[in-house]
Amino acid sequence: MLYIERATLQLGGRLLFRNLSLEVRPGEWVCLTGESGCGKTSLLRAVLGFHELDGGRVVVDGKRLSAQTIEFIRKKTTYLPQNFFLPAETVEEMLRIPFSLKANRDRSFSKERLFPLWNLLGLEHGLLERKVNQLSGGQRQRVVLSMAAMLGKELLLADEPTSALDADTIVRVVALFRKMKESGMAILSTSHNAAFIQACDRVVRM
Amino acid sequence: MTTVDLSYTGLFVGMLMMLIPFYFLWHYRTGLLSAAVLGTVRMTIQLLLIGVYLRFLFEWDNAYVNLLWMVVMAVIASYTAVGRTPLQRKVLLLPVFTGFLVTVLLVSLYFLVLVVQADRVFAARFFIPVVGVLFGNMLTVNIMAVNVYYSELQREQNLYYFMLGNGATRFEATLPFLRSAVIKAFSPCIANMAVMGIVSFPGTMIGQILGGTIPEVAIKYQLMISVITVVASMLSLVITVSLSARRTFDSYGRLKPIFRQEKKLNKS
Repeated sequence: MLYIERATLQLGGRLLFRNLSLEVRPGEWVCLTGESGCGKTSLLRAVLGFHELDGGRVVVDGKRLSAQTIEFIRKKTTYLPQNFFLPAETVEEMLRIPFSLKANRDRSFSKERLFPLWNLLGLEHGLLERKVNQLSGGQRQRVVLSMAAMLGKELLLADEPTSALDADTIVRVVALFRKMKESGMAILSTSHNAAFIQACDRVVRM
Repeated sequence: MTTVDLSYTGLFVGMLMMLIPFYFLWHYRTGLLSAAVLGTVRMTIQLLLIGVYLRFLFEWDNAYVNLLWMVVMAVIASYTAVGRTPLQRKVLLLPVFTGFLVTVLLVSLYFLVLVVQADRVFAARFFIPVVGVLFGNMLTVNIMAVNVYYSELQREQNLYYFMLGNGATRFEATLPFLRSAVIKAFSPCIANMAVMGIVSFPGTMIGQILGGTIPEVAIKYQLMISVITVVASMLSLVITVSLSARRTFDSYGRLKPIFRQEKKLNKS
């Protein structure tokens, strides 16, 4: 699903990685790890064309990343950056945002699909009507992960999806990630959390 | 009703009132005293000079000269607007200039041909004041909106990338930022319209009444001036943002290094 070949990236005059290659197949969960600033986030961004590689190539679902294919690639992907806030009043409004995009019109939001995911993640159903600014960091992170699972795209790029979670909740998130990969999703995530890293199929140390 | 002219002595006595804000700016140690004095002096000189220009424009009353005057105003307004944003001049100047010029032409022609039904649309007494009031309002709204739009885009990059990374088109991904810019730029206009005639008596109407126009006519003009300024502000903003998109985003939807500081950093 995702193939990165001999990727090299330099940002602000600093070399982040050189000749990095990795592959994530459908139904596989790969975790990037390494010290802060080693280029994990930048690699995820490079897959979506937010950083231009200085060498190498990115291929998603058989298409090489370029200005011509970027729309196709982004349509296949769910991207969860770190610490972002969606402009919405309530949790439900926030969850509906990606479903309102033209690229995702064939995917629909439904409470019937959402609540089993929330049960898995330990979220109360009443949160749906709550204001976004009343959520804790951990709740917001899990809500966003449930959004990714509901979108159900072929590729998930998740940047530090457990940064605001405690150990018990990370176990729940691991269960969700397993469920997503079992459905055929290819997952590339970054993490510093040992339990989360241990649970994935493959670890790439950068 | 007749116009009561102000004598220069009267003007001087009126200007003396500025001593009150000057005193308090000094007394509260705001550091704004010199800027306020300079601003007052500049305003006085500029308005007196404009008075001289306008006298010539009104005496010549030539359509071509008036159109040229509009272009000159568009250039000055664009330079001023872009200079008050953190963006590089070359990126935004042409979109802002085009937005101003196209909007002023469309809105002033609509107003003068269809509403006022003026015999000579480009006559100085109609065209110059209408163009002037449109530029003034477009300038304020454009500066505010462009600042908010690009600053928020840069600050909230994760949100922008989230939108793009989940399949949004560039328009869909920039919509939250455009919405925020429009809300912040237009909220004062909308609030002003809502209280007009109750809390505030707008300048156009007051000027006309003091100049000798009967209140009913002054109010009709005020109503139309309020409408055309809001329409022009929105139109020019939409044109500016649409035209600037090509210069500010690359083919991957990334924001180019368009801020002045980034240019300096790139050079160093």
